[in-house]
Amino acid sequence: MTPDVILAGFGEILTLERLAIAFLGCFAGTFFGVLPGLGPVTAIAVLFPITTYLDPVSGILMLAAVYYGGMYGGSTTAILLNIPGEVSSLPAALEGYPLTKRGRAGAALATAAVSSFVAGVVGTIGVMIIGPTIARVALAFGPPEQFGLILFALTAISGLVAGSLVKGLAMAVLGILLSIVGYDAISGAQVMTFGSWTLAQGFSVVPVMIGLFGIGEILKTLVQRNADVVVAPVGSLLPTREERRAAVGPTARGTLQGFFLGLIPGMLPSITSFLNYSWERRRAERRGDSQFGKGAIQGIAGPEAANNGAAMGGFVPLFSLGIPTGPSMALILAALLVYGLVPGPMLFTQEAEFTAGVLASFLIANVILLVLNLPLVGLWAKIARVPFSIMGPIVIVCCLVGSLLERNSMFDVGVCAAFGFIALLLDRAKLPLAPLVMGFILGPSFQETMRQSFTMSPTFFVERPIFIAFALAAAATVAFAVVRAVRTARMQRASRDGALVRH
Amino acid sequence: MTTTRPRRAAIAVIAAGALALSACATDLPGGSAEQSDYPTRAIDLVLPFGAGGATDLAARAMADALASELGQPFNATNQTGAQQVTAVSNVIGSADDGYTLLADGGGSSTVQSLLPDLPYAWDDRTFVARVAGGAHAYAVGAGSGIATLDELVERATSDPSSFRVAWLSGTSTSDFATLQLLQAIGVDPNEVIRVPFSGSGDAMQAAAAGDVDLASGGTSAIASLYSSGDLVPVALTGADPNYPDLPLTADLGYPELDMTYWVGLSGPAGLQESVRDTLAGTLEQLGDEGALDDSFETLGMTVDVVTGEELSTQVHEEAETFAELNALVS
Repeated sequence: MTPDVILAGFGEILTLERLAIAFLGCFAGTFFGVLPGLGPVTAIAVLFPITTYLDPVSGILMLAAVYYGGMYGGSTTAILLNIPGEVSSLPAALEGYPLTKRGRAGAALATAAVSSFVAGVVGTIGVMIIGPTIARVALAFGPPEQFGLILFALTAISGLVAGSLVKGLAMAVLGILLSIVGYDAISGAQVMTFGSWTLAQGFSVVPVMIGLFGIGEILKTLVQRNADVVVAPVGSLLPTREERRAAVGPTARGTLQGFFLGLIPGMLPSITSFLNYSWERRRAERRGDSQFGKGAIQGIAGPEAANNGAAMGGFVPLFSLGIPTGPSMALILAALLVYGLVPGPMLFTQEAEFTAGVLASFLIANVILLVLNLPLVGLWAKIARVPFSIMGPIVIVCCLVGSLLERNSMFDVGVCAAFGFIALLLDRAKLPLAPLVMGFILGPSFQETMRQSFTMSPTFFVERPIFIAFALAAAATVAFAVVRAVRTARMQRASRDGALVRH
Repeated sequence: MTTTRPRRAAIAVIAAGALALSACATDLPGGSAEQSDYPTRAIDLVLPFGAGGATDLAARAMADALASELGQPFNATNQTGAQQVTAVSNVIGSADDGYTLLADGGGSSTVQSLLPDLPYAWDDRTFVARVAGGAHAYAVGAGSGIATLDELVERATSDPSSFRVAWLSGTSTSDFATLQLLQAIGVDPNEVIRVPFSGSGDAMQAAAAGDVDLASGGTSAIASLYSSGDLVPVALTGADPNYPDLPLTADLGYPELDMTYWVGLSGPAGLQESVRDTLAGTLEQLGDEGALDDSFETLGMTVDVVTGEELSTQVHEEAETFAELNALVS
């Protein structure tokens, strides 16, 4: 896109009416996201019908603002209450909640906001520069390539596990098993439904996740008795110099990784956020000063940036080829369809005004969100101080309503409640929850792309160079993890033996 | 003090949970008042598919038009999963007062006739109206060197065992469009390679990339990749005002390739007659006025309102066609 087209786009957006719509969208999205149990996909789905009454640019602007707002808000509840409103804020919960307990909620929130902002802005500029030129990369990613990518993404599980690798893998497999309950999208057969049409609906990720984390967290607090009802101090709201410095590298890496991975179909922003978390964790462990699991600012900055970067990268295949990379993108594609705008290279040439307007609106939405969220950090951080007897019931209600809203099924409400109790049991058994969610998300595409690949050609694994590259990378990652685990175990044994000898 | 606190919190949590559950479960009491002035309150319209697809957008357009004509809001809710069985069984189990209706289509009716163990008789409902239909496109990748339907037929018949078609698990009208084509050209569908996909968008993407040799799907699925030049639609099974230049199967000597998908309105079995007449009459009037044309046209669908006995015959004929085609692969 040429600079004058982009400037014209800004001219299109910087009207009072459009700014008001952007602000409203950001506010509504943040509001939905901050309610525990509700995330951006729910926010878009609920507000989608309203946007069809607006003109095309305003409609897309509203949806994008809601989407971004939902992502900001989702990270807020993840950090403050350990309840990720969407799967991609899971790392923010893993690292942000310990920070909240230490009284660094303000720093964690500010880091999440700034990293998301940086990735959003860089990503938008990336879409403007790249435009439709490399969109065909998406077509090079057929089922075998996507299968390789998923194999590789599965290795990120090892980075999500704090303790035993075996426990982590077991939970990931449990997640995959849960994800295949229901109607098989490929053969049309019922899988593990025991002939029940209720189970044939399958488990949906939103109720499962907010049950595990939201309801589970409340139940855990209840069982602990007066242990943790102590109110966390809010502490200084701004990140310290040290925290700021620690966040710079992960933000930059997360932005780039997220953006480029986001160009690939099937690459959900949540997967990039998991991958980045796992890479940052390993990086920190190599350097020997890892705070991961105990509240590492890197574990918030990197994944939040990767998530937003991927969300932006996804607009390249969407706008140039009409290929959505995830459910949120599919809804935005639908909005384009309502307006009679057909995504394709023409969107960047014949409809350049519209496209430039939309891209400019992304930048504006990111700025509005930063302005909206940074001053609110103090307010949000106070949520962590609300007594449990008030917050607990509110969270339960929000989680149950959130689980219902996604597809209006009472079954999902029951699932949400049940997974709350399951989370309690898993916690007792010291089994990690994050790998379960990861397995649950990757399970269906793992199965689908594998079966597609084998149907297309039984020998695809020697015919597709991109698949081979991913498979090798996955194998190398696993081998590295095994070698490291063995070495650590040997060193521990050696030091224990040494201690025995000395006695 | 410290010992009572958690207990109090526990009670509050349980109470709140119960409250939320009961709020979810409560339905408005079925008003059995006189029906002559139907509708007197908001109508729930269940959409058995996910938000955002062409059929979803079409059903919402239909709901908007009905709402402004009847003066009561239509609350459209998407209920997905279980091959649309959950959504349909919710509607057909509701009161027959016309305040719970279904945005119906092939997927939620005639395709279900093929499901074993369906928990209800597939036609145990009141078909109110079929509002609009859309054609399917047969598409190949631009890199395949195939540009016409005849060339595609030649490719398929010369070596069926290496011919890869996109397959949506036999539960979509797109699959029946594919089966119709294979049947017409005398290729055994069990002989070709059926590569599974979960939606026609993915299938079209695979055709454009050359991962399959043929993908069939509603015309809204071809829009982007056709405009980018990556996909070649060799024929449409019916006219689509958005693509006046694309050849039609009927003009190419295959009039039997006529598979369409449709969107309509249904209610529980025994829907009160006055209600059915009001709804059907309103839709017919909207169709005659052309009030629906614009919104459906952008989605690649043609408005053609069919009601009453004619609709019932049409739907049962479609079910028979699907059963015959389905027998080819099972």
